[in-house]
Amino acid sequence: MWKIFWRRFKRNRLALFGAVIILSLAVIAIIAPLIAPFNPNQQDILHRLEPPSARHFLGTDDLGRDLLSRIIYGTRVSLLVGFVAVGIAIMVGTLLGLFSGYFGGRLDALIMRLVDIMLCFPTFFLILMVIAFLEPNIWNVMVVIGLTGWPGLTRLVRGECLSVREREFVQAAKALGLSNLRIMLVHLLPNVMAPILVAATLGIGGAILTESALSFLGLGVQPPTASWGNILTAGKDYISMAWWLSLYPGLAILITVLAYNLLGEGLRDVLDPRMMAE
Amino acid sequence: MLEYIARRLLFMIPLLLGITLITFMVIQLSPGGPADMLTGLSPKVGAEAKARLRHLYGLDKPIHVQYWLWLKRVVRFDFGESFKDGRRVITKILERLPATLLLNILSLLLIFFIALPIGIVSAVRQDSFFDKGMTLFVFLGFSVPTFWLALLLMLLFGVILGWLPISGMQSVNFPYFSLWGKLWDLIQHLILPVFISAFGGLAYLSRYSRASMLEVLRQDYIRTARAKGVPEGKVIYRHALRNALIPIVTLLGLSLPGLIGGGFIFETIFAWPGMGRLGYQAIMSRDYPVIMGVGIIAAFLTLLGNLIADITYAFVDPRISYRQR
Repeated sequence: MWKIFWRRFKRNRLALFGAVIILSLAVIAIIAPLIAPFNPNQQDILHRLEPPSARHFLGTDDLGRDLLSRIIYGTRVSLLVGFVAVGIAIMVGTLLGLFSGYFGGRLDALIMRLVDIMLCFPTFFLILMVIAFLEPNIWNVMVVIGLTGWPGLTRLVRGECLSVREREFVQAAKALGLSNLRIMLVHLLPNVMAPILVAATLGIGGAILTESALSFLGLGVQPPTASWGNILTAGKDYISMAWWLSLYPGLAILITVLAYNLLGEGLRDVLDPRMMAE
Repeated sequence: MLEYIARRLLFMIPLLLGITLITFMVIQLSPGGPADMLTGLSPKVGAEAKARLRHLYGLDKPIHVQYWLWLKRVVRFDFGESFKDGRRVITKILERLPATLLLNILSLLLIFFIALPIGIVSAVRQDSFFDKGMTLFVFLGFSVPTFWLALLLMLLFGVILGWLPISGMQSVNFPYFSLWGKLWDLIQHLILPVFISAFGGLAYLSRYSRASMLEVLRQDYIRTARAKGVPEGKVIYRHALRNALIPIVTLLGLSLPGLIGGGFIFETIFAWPGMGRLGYQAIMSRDYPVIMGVGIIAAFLTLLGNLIADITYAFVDPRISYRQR
């Protein structure tokens, strides 16, 4: 099965491209101190708002900090937020979806109404609201993005469970007297893994976008910690004097999110069960 | 039909209750509850106002009673008064609502009239150069941070080219313009915000109208129409388009939360005097009755949008039976 997967995946050039970018970003995040030319928080007031040059490849910001180094360190923030937030969303969404789809009945109706309600809220405002009441910092941002990201996934997992539940091997497992929990985790879960994986990959891109928007508004990662979003805040303030402050952090976000979207869409094609059967 | 609408309206009630419940729970999240939040963060508010707030939320009572009392006020759109200027929250929201509605309705129209043709042409000429280009555009559309795009467009059209105003809804000397001058001024101020707020929806909808059209083009009745010699143009615009439109109507309704949610960023960037900017300012100054009011009204507008989409759906698709569900 892995062989089939790899063969099909290799043929999908865009997905492969996305995967390569994601891996490189992960490497950059890990070895950030080794490759960043400057300390990202080192201020140098004499060289503030300098355009890109041989010394500062991408220029400097309003406090004279090296933009390239700040963007490199920002990679850490976005990857961390992406993975942790989506991890939370996947756990909540999958569990609720499994319960809803497997048990059905009242529990199902209750969970589905909850999903409907969550989908009514403009998610971004809900996140803003919660962050406003808590303290804006990276941990709260991750938890809140995660806790608002599950409803779509719950619907998806539930739908898959409804059909898998009726299959013979689940009936057989029930007849053998296996516990409900075991049936859900051992027999249902592997069969709904493919759509979860796709949703997770696309979700990481979405979470990175949300984090950058929050940080841009000053409600996400707080300065002096560099995040792509909060660098853009300064970019907005100095938009007429320092275009590089607006351009490069946004490009970093675009490339990263694009990579996750390409990989996610690629996985969707590759993992399509109808095609797996071939 | 009336019965169907009535049923959809009834169906909204539990959703509305849920929305208020979640909002209420968010209030409880604030450390020490709403009263401490108020005293801790805005020392200007006196003891009398504090007592009034305690009374407004019935903070001395058990939690389910508190919720009930709060709900009774909310259903009358009574969200209390703003901490900042003491004006009623609902008045403040109603002032801002027209600007937000104008922006969102224009964005929806733009999304519909641009994304739909893109989707149709992509589907009809599947795998053509145009189709591939549009697929790329859609991917970019999903991945671009729209607030960043807004910055770049402001930089290009506002700062470098100087063609368009970059903030607000009208110029400083707006009152002295003629009627047409006023309209032209408003349009100039609308171009960037409408484009930016429509951008995400554009990518989303053109992708789905392409998928929907492809699905319909595969149906037997299309093959039948072609086989009996109906001209290709007629096959596409009469037979296929009508059926492909149906799911798209629902999607338009579903893109509302995104539009309204996005408004909190775009209205802030463009200094657009709408509800989103009001909400953002309220959040930054911890003006907590306004935050609650904006949250509930935004969710309410979303529900209303979904209801309109549902009803339109029933109108365009005769296969929907109003009696079931």
